[in-house]
Amino acid sequence: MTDRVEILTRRRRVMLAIYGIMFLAFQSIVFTSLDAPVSDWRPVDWAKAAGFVGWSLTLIWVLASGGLVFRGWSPDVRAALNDELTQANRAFAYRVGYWTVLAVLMALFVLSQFFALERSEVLRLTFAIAVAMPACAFAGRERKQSGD
Amino acid sequence: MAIELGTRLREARTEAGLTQAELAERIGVSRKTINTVENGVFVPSTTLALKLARALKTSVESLFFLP
Repeated sequence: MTDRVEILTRRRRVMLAIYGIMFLAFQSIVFTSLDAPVSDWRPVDWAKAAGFVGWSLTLIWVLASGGLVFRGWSPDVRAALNDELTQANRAFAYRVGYWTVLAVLMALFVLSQFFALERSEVLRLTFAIAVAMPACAFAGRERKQSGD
Repeated sequence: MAIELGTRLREARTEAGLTQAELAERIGVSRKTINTVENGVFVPSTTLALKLARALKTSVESLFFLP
């Protein structure tokens, strides 16, 4: 059982780290067109919006659900995947997300005094950071504890 | 303030002839959880401490102590 738990834990960790970083990177590459008014959206923008929502929900769900994401596995394996240490790491990740969002909001407030910021851009970026930072923090914490 | 807790878990586990993986399996946690408790990185809850003590046939007080 422990081998399976370790493999699945590593898979979850790598997935959260890669998808979290990619999600942030894609904000300036792919999702900027979503800041335009919805009435101006082309079909490709609707596809991007669906991708943005789907990607966000996946990251939120994988981090929040713990062992539930591995539905096919036995209850013992799923319980070990969402044990006390995992829950403590998740709580740590949410704390990192909270402080990061506060810092980003403060930085955006200062920037808004000197530059014109689009409301939708600010909301999208803040949301993206609130989604991605806990995922990356969780992955980083688990990696550190694994000693990889 | 961070909680500091001394532990003799590694010694007790070794005396019982168990690996980290075997102890983890007995109490339903990951091997990493056992490893972090042994290294003092993670402070277990009362429930987990009781499970560890029961699996090693000892008392919580003999596994954990305040430094």
